[in-house]
Amino acid sequence: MGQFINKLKLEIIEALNLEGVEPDEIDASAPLFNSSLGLDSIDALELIVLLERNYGIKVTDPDEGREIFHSVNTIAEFVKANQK
Amino acid sequence: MKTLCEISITPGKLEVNHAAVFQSKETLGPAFFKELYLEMNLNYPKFYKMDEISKLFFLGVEQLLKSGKWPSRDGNTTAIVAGTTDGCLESDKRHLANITNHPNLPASPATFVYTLPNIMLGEVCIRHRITGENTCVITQNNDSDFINHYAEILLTDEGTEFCIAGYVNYLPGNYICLLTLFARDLDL
Repeated sequence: MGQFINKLKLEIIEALNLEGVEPDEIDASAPLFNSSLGLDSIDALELIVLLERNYGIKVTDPDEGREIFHSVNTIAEFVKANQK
Repeated sequence: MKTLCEISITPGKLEVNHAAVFQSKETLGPAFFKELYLEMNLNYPKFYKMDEISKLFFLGVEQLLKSGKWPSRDGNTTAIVAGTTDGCLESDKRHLANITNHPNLPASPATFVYTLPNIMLGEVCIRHRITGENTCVITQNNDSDFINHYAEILLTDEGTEFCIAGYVNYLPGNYICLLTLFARDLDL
């Protein structure tokens, strides 16, 4: 799972244009939003696109989205459970 | 109206009141904008998410307001009027490529959100809490007579003390940002 978490972090950094942020600077268990990363609602939409584009998973329920995108760990768990 | 400051950004060069304050051998837009951002010692990570014309306008306004000693508490009495010719064409092309090459996937929200020329004004308004009148117009070229006259009209309103006015345009390999900070002439 560790390797996958790192891969996911790299994908998030690229998708959200987090210039200068290294994977080990992102705490996988910490909240992604309301953090020093400064993510906003557009970033949330980009994460939804990332899951569909890279893993074939569609997120349609906004309430579900809040739980899925809480942290890198929760995203990773969701992908592992739902990847096609 | 009074002119408080003028800036220009052209490939590899930043000028304030017609004097060069920063020059680089790097002239390609994205690389030069990043260099200028770092040179200005800005700490605004959202900069990296902007499209090229928004970055260019953002950097121009940063320098303009700093050099013009704009009182930052006056966002609600500051207006913006900007002209552009090609607007957000590069973002439009990127968005078109996304939806054409990947028709079965959703469009990138981060690209789509910049497919309006006036978004560059929005980025500056967010950064500096500017809530005055703001207008973005498409002109065939740099029509400074029109833009300056528009600024003059805006400054006749008692609620408008300052106006950021100018022309900004971005195409790969060729970009320009010419901005003036005007103030209402209180002696009138």
